[in-house]
Parts: sequence; structure tokens; C-alpha cells
Amino acid sequence: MLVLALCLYLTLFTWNLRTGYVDKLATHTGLEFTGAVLKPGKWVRDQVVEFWDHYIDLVSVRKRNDELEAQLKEAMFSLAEANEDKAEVLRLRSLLSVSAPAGWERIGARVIAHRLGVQAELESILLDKGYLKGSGVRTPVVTHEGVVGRVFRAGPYTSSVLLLTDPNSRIAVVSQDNRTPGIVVGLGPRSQLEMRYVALNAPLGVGELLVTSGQAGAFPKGLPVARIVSIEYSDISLFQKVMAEPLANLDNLEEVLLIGNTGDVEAFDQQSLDTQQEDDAQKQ
Amino acid sequence: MQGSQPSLFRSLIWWTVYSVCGVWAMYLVPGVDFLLPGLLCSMQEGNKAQTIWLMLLFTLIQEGAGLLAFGPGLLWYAMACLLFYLGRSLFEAENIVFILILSAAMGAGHVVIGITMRHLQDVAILLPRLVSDGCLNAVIIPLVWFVVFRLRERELRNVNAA
Repeated sequence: MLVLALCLYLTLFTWNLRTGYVDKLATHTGLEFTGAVLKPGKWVRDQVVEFWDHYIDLVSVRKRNDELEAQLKEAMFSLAEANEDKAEVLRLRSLLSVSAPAGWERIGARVIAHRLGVQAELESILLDKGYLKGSGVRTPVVTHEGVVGRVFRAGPYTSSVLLLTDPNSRIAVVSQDNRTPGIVVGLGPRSQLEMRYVALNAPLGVGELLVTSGQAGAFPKGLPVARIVSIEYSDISLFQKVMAEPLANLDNLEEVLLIGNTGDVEAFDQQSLDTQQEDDAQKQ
Repeated sequence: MQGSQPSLFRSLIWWTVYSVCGVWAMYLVPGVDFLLPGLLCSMQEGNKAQTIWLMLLFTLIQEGAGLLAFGPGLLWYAMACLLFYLGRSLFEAENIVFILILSAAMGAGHVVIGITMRHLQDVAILLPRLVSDGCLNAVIIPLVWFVVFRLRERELRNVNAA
């Protein structure tokens, strides 16, 4: 009886891995139920906190206002410089006949939960947007600080995001100054990231920023991901051991941006976690 | 605890409220299953149809909220049912000691299921997290069961009185 049950389970499991139908059922029922339960409570909490901050707790408001004004002035200076650079890029593009990259639109979303349930072994967050609102599978998720991860599962109104600190996360990056490519892999919660497949003679510096390379259209090019904190050279490996700190603060995420692709950039092919790990094993 | 059961509508409301509270509790304490104690109470009531429906609902919630492929949630609840029905032949099903032993076994089972999925689905799952979640489940499930059991007893007493 037990053997029969086990065989039935493995049959269902294998069939689901091939077709994904049961996963879709679970996403459209379980994930949506969870989202429907959490969203109203989060809304009430946000309203209460907003009322408290705006009408009762005014002590820190003036100080915060002064800080924000100073930050705004700095941001405006940086924007002016960036506008000059942008104009130059446009001129150079037209001179060299280089086509502009396709557009990416930004959609805001709220985080409604972190790692929910007993099967939440992967580093993840739940968002209050689903595929009907632009949060499709593999949609990049960022904050103003940097990349957060990618949408892994999407229901109609709720979605789950795999964070970049998860060991199953892979992001193609390039160093900002030296343009050295690599793959950033997570090592677990509150841990550093590892940049893999960096050749021993590739130029790289501690403190250098890692940005998305834009390869395969998975992420827009140039999004900040992490900052290099250490580089080690090994006698027995073909690659440098590069460790980096993620730029986005993943502990207190409340709002994120979903980056939707509006152009003709080729979509990243469906790669299961199995395939990514197989590639890893072959390269090593 | 076995006796006359509440009406379908009343059961629906009760278990819906329980599921909502369970989801909120899982939001507050990630990695712990706050829905399993309800399933245990349902098995103790001896209501098979209710148990099957609850198992289905809770499996879909757990599988939907997680990122792994479908499978670990089903294994988790199937293991709970198997351990309960096997243990019932040796222990008194409504005894807290039985629930403590069952929860400890489920905590260990959580680690086993995680390691199994690690190989079956070829995903990287951190062992320290599996172990810490397993320990949390072993400790918290009996406490939640105690509260749910008392509430359920009161509910069934009200139904019998009515």
C-alpha cells in the first residue's frame, strides 16, 4: 500500500515537472488565497501607520524634511550631469549607427510577505501584483538601491520572487569599471554573493560595482547588483574567488519595482534550476 | 472529541477563519506550519471527509506559497496522516504526549523532506535552515494544537448543546 502510494506520488511529481499543471493549480489557488488573506491586513496596517506618522508623530517630521531637501538638491545636480551624458550618448549613437536598446517599463509593487509557509526553504518574498498587472514569470525586481531578484511564480494577482541571495539565483553581471563579466550567485540569507567564472587574469578591483550585463534580455543592462568586497586568487582553480555585498537591503523590503520588457529583446529561455546547476557543474 | 458534527456552513466558516489565522501566523513566523494542528484536530474528530478536504486545501496553500515544485507539501501532510494513524494504535490520540511525539517526528520529517527535495528537484536548500525550521515546527505545533483543540472542543460542545 505504501509502495503504491509512493509510486503514485512519484508519477504525479514527474508529470508535474514535465507539464507544470499542478504547480499552476497551486499558484492559482494557494498563492492567490495567501495573497487575498494578507493584502487587506497589510492595507489596514499601512493606513494606521500613515495616519500615525502624518497626524500624530510629528517630532521627527521636520528633521526628516531637512534631510530629504538636502538629498533632493544632490540628486538634482546628479540628474543635470546625467542629462548631459545622455545627450552625448544619443549623439554618439546616431554617429556610429548603433540602435537604442528596447524599452523597459517600471511597475511598482508592495511586498506582502517574506518566506511564507513550511515549504518556504528558498529566499523569497510575495508581491501584491500578479501576471495580470505586469508581474510575469522571470520579471526582474529591483529597488532604487539595486537588483532584488526575479519573479519565480506568478498568479493573476500575487507573485513570488526568488531573491538574489538565494543559492539558486544566477544573475549575469559585468564590473562597472573594468567590464569583466561573470555570474553572481547567492550564498544564503544575510550572506555575501559570489561572482563566478572570472578568469585569473581578468581585471577586477575591490570596491568595484557589479551591474547587470543585459545578456539574453533577462535583466536590463546597467542595473546595480552588488559591490566587490574581496578577491582571492587560487593556485588550483582557473577562476578568481570574488565575493560581493548586495546593494539592495533585502531585510526590510516594503516596495519594489517590477521591470517589464516593452521591446523586442529576446526573452530569456525557460531554464529550470536543474539546467542552471548542470551548467555550473560542467563549467567547474 | 467525537460527537455530532456542526453543520456544513458552520464548519466552512470555522475552518476558513482558521485558515486565515493560520496564514497570518505563517506570515509572522516564517518556516512553521500553523495549519497542521487543525488537520490533527480534524483527524482526532474522526471526520474523514473534512480531513481530506482540509488536507487538499492546506496542501494547495503550502505548495502555492512556496517556491519548490509541487510535491513537498503533499509529502508533509501525507506523513502527518500516516504518523497519526500509526501512532493512534499505540497512544491515546488526544493526549498531549502523543502530539509532542508526533510533532518531534514531523520536525525530523521536515529535514528529511527538504533533503529529498534537494536531490529530487536539484535545488540548493540550506541545511541549517532546514534544521532550524524543523526544530521550530517540533516546538510550536504542540502549542498551537493545544489552543486549536480547546477551541474545537468548545465548538463541538456548543453544537451538541444546540
